[in-house]
Amino acid sequence: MELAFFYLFAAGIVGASLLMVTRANVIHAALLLVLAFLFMAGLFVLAGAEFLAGVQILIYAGGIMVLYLFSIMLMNVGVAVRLRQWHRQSVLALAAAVLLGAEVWAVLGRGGYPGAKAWGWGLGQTPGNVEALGEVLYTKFLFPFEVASILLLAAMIGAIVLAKREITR
Amino acid sequence: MIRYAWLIPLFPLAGVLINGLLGSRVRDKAGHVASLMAGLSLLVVLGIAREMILGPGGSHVVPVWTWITAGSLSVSVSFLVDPLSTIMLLVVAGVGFVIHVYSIGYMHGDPGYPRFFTYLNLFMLSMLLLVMADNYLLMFVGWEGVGLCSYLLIGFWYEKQSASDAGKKAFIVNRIGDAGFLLGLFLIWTLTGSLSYAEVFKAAPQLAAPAATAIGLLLFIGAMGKSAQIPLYVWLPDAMEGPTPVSALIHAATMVTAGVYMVARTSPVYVQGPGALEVIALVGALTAIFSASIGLVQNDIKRVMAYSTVSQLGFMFMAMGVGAFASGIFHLMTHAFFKGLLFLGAGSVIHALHHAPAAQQQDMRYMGGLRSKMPVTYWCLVAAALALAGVPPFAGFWSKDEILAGAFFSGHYVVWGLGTAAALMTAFYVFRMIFMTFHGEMRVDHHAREHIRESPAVMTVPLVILAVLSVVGGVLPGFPPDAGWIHKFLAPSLAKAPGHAALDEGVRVVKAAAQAGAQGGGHGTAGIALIVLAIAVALGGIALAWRMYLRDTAAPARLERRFPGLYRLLLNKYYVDEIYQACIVEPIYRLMRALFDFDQKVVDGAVNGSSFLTVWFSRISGIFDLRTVDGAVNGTAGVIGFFSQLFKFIQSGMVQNYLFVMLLGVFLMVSAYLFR
Amino acid sequence: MTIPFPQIHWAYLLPVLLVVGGAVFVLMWDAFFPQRERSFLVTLTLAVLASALGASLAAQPGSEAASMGGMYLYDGFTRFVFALILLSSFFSVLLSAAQRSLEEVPAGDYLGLILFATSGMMLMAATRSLLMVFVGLEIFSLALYVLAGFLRGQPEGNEAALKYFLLGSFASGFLLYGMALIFGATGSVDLMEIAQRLTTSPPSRSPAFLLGLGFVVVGLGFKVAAAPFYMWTPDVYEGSPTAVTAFMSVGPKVAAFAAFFRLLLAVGPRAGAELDAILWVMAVLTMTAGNVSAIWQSNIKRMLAYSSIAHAGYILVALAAVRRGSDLATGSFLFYMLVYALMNMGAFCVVVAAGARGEERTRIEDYAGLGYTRPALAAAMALFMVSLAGIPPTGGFVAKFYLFSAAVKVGFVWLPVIAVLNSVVSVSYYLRLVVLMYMREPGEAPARPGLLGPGWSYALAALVLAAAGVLNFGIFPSSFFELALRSTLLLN
Repeated sequence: MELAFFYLFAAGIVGASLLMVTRANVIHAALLLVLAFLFMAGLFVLAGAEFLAGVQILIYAGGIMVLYLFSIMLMNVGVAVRLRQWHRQSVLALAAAVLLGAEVWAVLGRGGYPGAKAWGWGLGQTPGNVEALGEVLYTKFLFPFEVASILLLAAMIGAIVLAKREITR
Repeated sequence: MIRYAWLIPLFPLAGVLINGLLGSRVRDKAGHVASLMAGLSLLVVLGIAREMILGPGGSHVVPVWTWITAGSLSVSVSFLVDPLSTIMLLVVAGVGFVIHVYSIGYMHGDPGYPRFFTYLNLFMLSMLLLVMADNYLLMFVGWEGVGLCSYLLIGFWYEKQSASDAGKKAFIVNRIGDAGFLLGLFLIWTLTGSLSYAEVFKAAPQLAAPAATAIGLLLFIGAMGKSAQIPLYVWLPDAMEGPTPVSALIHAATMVTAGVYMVARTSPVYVQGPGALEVIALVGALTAIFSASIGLVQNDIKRVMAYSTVSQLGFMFMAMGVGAFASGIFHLMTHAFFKGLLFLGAGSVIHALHHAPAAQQQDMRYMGGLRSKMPVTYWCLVAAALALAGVPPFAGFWSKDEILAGAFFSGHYVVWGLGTAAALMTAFYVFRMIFMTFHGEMRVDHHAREHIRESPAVMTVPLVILAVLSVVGGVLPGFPPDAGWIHKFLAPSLAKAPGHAALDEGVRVVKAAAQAGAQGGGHGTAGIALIVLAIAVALGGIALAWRMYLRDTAAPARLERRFPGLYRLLLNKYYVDEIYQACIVEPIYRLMRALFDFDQKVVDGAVNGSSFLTVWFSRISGIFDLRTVDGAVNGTAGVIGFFSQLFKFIQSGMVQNYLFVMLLGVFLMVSAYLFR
Repeated sequence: MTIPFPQIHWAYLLPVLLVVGGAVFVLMWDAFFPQRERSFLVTLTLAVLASALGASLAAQPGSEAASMGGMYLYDGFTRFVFALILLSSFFSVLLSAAQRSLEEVPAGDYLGLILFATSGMMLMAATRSLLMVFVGLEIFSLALYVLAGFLRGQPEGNEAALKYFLLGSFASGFLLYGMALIFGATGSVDLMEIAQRLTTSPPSRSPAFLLGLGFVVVGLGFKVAAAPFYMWTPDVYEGSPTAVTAFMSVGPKVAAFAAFFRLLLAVGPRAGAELDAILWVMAVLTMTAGNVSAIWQSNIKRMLAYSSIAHAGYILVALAAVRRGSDLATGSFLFYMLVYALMNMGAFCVVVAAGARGEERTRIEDYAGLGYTRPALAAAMALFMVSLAGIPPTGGFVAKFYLFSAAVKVGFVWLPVIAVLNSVVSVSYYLRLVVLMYMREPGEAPARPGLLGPGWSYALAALVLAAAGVLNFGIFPSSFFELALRSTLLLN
């Protein structure tokens, strides 16, 4: 049962992603991305990470996607949709991707993970893992958690710098 | 005095700083500053030499500071004063000082006057470091330094295309040698755990023969580059594009002998690997005869000298190869005197002819009959030529004869045969040069004739000094052969070649013969025969030159007609340059060009892509710029531009190409795991 | 319930806090007092960097080096690397202040981003956790993407920024995937734990782990511009403002190489011979590609880009030696980086200073005759080129000597041989510039005198500092090398 759902979600992600990169219409592509995000949230649920599933839907499918759509509309893609975005190098790219994927698969097929459960990380042991996540986040991973704020700040300033200079010009 | 050895390189360093940094201020005084510094160095050297020669000698290390430490390895900047380095110091500082003084006159009025003396002092500094180092790494510092100065000085007249080309050639060929030298250093360090002479030589007897041979050969590659041996000799003849004092100092007397010095210095390692010595002997002999034969027909006065230098360096390596290290260093010393003199004399001639057309200034076919106009130069050059030809009692006779005897008595009959043939050619070409330049009728351009006069004293005095040395520089330290003062003096610094036991035997024979000869007795041994043969060869060569270029002046043309192929082969230096060009330079050049074209395309693609990116960025900013409502309207045109440009951009495949290469790399990397 | 609060050693954290705090302060100051002179902000930034340097030098690594469970690690290695990163930031701020074309940009944003990038590099280098490596890497990468395109007027800058961003994200993807695989295989992101589990648990060399390690190598290899992941470098270096290029050529390399070293020191000995082969091939490819491509360049920034690729190749030699367990290699890496930072920054500084009278001089041809028009500048450039080429008595020679001897010590034969041959080749393009400066007449009439920008004093300071360092490390390297060696003591 679990396995069946896994394959369903996995197929959903792959299918949605493939459709997304082949769409000529950017808005369609964006909506397909939402679909892929949703399937991914399903995978998180299967793995027992409800919190991540929730975050996935709220932030990616919700927040970030809206921003994407907003930007696309402002950019007036009416013209763009008619342009072909497919180019000759796609064959090369596809070949490289398939080749590399097959290779990675072959390597991993030789012996997978010893099993995440074996390492007993605390996750997935209790039914609701939000609490466990919170604890880890504020103890063991407090430092990266705080440092991530520097990352966000730097990214924000970078984005503003890119935009602002156009105004001052 | 010995403990002040660090002063020796310090003076040229001061000269470099003064002339290099204040070049525009000192201007015409640069030559005097540089000569003063070289002179002060020479004074210290003389003081040390006096102590070494009159005192007990021995080997002294003068530490300055610890340079590099890495684990067990410790390399210090410290100077070694022992008999070998004393002789080298005397040669370098002595000839160096003389040539500094000569340059004051020769380079007078050159726009690059201060620059020239900066380089010259820098060269002195590096060369002194090279011979004074007490470890291989510091020697390498000097080694690199002299190479750099040689490169800078060959290309000194950079406006001349041929000069800068010659500089490049010297540079590239020397880099090949340097690579070998560096690898040799690494091998020494790996095998003996040290780079200082004392420790390496202490460990040397434990080295296996193949290891010692490998070290020896790698170091010899370095020597081949620096000392212009086959196949890396090609740069030296071209190096004559530099000013003549440079040719005399760097490309005849000192730098090019660095390889010989290095082999002599490393003799304790070389004797462990006789294979390397055999190679050196053979390469030396081949180089000697090969370039001597080219020298037979050259018409450019400096080129004759250049090939002669290559040939004489071959003699020195011959000595090294047969285990006669002391004789090699002896020849190095006498050669520095007479070859330095030959170059300075040639420079004096060229200086006198500087009103002649540029193409004729160095061409001996346009000289002749200069004897009466330039007597001092003439007589000095004759002394040098006699020394080079090996006529007793001039300097070259003693050292060259020792080398040939050494080759003979150590059983290297092929080497000896080649060397003797080369000696014959040597005597011929050097007197051909004398006769073509100073005798016969004057063929100088009419305009230039009245300007010919003897060079000023600042140039002729150095000539006379070197001439005196060319006369007595061999017999005083080198008599009797193989047992003279210089051999005893050098003995503690050099290893005995154990595989060449016959050599010692031979040495005794020659010694006995020479003593007998000196006393007027007549012991008919092989030694006497060799000496007689050597003298006969020298005189025969001179006589041949006299016959062909003074008595029967039509003879050269007749020979040329009879052997046109051989003549052209020699005149074109066996076409070696052309062969290198076709087989090595051209393919590499094509490869480089192909790589460059690849890069060029990428750059072009980048430029094409850039206009699109500008548009793209302005669009992104447009999104943030919410206040401009009509931005979207105006933007439409831009968006079309954006996407069409995007299309173009992607087709040019810039970023995609990069990504593809990256993916390829990842693919190969994973393959490494997969197929292991 | 009580949550155990992680122990924090503030003295160790101080350098990072100073830099981050400085970044925020510079930004705020510019926001509230935009009319203030630019030189004030520059001085402030320099002061921040200097005080961070002082703080890291003052903080002696003790027994409790690991803070917060290894997330932040302050040992001798960190201390040395901090000094390197702060030094390179210091130099690039000096260069930025000296560069004409950067005079008009908003100083607060620019300097803030430089400081943010600096903090990212520091965090990346000072950790045992793969997670922090990634976060640190992303912090400085994001800042650098923006800095690369800071001059909006220049299309090349925009192109550089975009190219760097696209390819950089791609590499980050690999890095992250690799870390995930390692986590999956070992159940930890902490290098020490990973190393322990590799020895204790039965599947010590699971394919997933090796693959993950390989992908991490790809990600880090991109940041240090190792072949075949170096192709972005020339384009990005050429297009970015020169001061930023200088920063990019040193800072990120120090940080990424530091993380690389920590990774290999921890798991290298257990990673198997495959990694040996990979590092070997990478090193050879990188230095050869860099040196061969550099020969023909006509743009000095491109030439220096290829030169920096070649130098990354030399450092990869040390990396391969580290995998074989050589302490000497880590020490020589630190020393090499120190010298490399000085000579590379110095060379870029000459590029900036040569353009200080107006037009930037980026074509190599522009340097013809510089020895006559600006003798001091040309002398400095010659010194840096000679050092980059590894000719004694400069620091470059000594650094290379240490590096290659470390490889020799652990039994590599051909790798140092190829490296030596490569450095022999490299001399040709470095000296070409020297020859051009001294052996060619200046192309055009010398620029009008007296038009030096106000940033001239900054350039001068940077030049003097770099030149003195390069000479000092060439002639008296011992004590600093000892320091570098001691800095690696606490590593294992």
